[in-house]
Amino acid sequence: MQDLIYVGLTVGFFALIGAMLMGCEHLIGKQDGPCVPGGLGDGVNESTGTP
Amino acid sequence: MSGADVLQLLLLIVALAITVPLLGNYMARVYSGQKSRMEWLFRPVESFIYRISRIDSAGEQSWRSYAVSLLSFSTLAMFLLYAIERVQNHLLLNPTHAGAVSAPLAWNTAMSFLTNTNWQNYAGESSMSIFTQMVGLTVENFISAAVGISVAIALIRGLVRRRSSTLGSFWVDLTRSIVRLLLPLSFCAAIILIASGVIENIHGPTIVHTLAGGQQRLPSGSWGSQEAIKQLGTNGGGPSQANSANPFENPNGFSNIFEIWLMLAIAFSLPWTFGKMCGDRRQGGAVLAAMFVLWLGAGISAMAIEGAGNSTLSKKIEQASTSQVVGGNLSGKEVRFGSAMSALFDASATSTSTGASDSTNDSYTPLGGGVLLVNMMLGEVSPGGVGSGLYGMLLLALLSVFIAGLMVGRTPEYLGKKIQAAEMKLVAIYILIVPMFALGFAGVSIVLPHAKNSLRNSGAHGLTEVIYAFVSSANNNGSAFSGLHANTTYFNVTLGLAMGFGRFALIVLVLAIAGSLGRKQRIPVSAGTFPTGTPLFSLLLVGVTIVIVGLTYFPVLALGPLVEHFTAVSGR
Repeated sequence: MQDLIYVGLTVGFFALIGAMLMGCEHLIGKQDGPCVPGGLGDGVNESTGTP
Repeated sequence: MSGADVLQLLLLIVALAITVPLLGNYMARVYSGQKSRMEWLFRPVESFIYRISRIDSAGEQSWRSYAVSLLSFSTLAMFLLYAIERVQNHLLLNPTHAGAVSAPLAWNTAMSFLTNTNWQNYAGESSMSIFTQMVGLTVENFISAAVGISVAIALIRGLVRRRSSTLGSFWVDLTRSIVRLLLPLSFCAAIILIASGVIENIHGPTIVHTLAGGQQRLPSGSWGSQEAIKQLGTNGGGPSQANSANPFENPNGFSNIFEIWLMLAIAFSLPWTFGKMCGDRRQGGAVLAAMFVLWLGAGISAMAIEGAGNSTLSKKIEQASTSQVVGGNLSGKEVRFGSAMSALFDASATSTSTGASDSTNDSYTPLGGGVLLVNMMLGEVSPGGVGSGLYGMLLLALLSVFIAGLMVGRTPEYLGKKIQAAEMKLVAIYILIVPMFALGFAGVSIVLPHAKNSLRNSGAHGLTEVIYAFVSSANNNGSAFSGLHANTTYFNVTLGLAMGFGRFALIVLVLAIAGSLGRKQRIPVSAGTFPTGTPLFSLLLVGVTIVIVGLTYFPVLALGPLVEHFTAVSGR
């Protein structure tokens, strides 16, 4: 029973890290969209090189 | 601090100056896929691993795929180590008849070795079988070190590549790190350590009869091979409870300084590798210089403070070291190393995320112990763990160019890559995660009654013990301050979670930043570019590390080591 608890804890922990990975992807993905005027970028989409 | 101590420090610096370029260039060749002189040995081993694991050695992965591979591999390694600990009483090589490790302790230990922390809530010589030490813990030492290096290499590729959606292959980087770097170096280091007196055997403990007529049980095991990767991989978890203070792990002054070099060798060489891989050695030099200044500052401070002795003792007591007498604060230290070299060992172990110890940190003077604590609070970047130190410092470099850009109106860019909002958000999260877990769990622990019962000291020293435990875990250092009975379900779980988030959450952020930077075009150097390969940038990096990261912890430093120091000085 104790082992099940710690296996569950491990699975839950790595699931949380996985969710964080998805969050990071979302954050980076947003940057690939059209640049916001006045933002840190210079108006050029860094991935595609297009304005 | 005696002349002999200064000479040993200088010898160590000379040894590092010779080996860092050699090892740095070698690692650059390894991770660029170039052939080595030992190709006849490495290639067949790697080919065999690739074949049985079905790894495409020419394949590349996106940052997400790289991260998923790393996390899947780590999950599997965690379960495997946990299982070995739980059934070690049914496995081979158990001459001491060690029983199964309890579930909370097994989970904490598995997380600890998986994350390169090597926090130990157990006495290795009595709790773990030789099989667990060799097949579980030592293998994990190689794996965790290789994972750290792989992530650092992936970040370098992200910085160097242009418009690339891939960062290399995690499986290939992991295999190369172990086969071409860690195994050969550990093999040579183990031979040197065994030759200097570290034990290496697989038989049971030896019973000896003492002169007084009593019996003494001498521990046994394959300590030489474990000691080598323990220091080289900045792991720190030793086969014995006394760690490197045990004469079977660290028998003399030579082994002591050699073990310090082992801790620093790869961690200091990786910035050189970075400079080589990005085609501009000044970039690597600037990062290396910042790391070196922080390490040397901490090392000399600890040596001077501990070498000066205990300020609470009467001034009539002569504490200075001479050519005939070992002096300084010798409480909790081995006379064969002396107070200053013990302090340099522990300062290096806390600077590198190794966490090994050849003396009792709890017995250091308040300021000496404070230096060890600050080393970890800087985020383990001076030079930090193998791989983790470099990626930590490179993220601080991104923060530095951003801050410099804000101050003088320059465009924030690093190595020609524009630093934008997404990268800065990820860097900010990176910097906040470790203090959040370290201070959060420590805060909860000092108010929970059953957690407070684990403390053997009260007041400022007791607070330092709790803070030290969580700072050490969240920064994946693993050294302990002693005085805290942490083998309870509460501490096993909370310390384990601090280690896990301090490792894997940061790795995901680093890989995300690497992926984002790798996709960008490099912009040419212009008048608006902030030069990042100069001594000025090294200075800025040191400043940012101390101010942004270190000062997060200033309030707890004030309440812990500083209060204890001033209380002792005032004689209360």
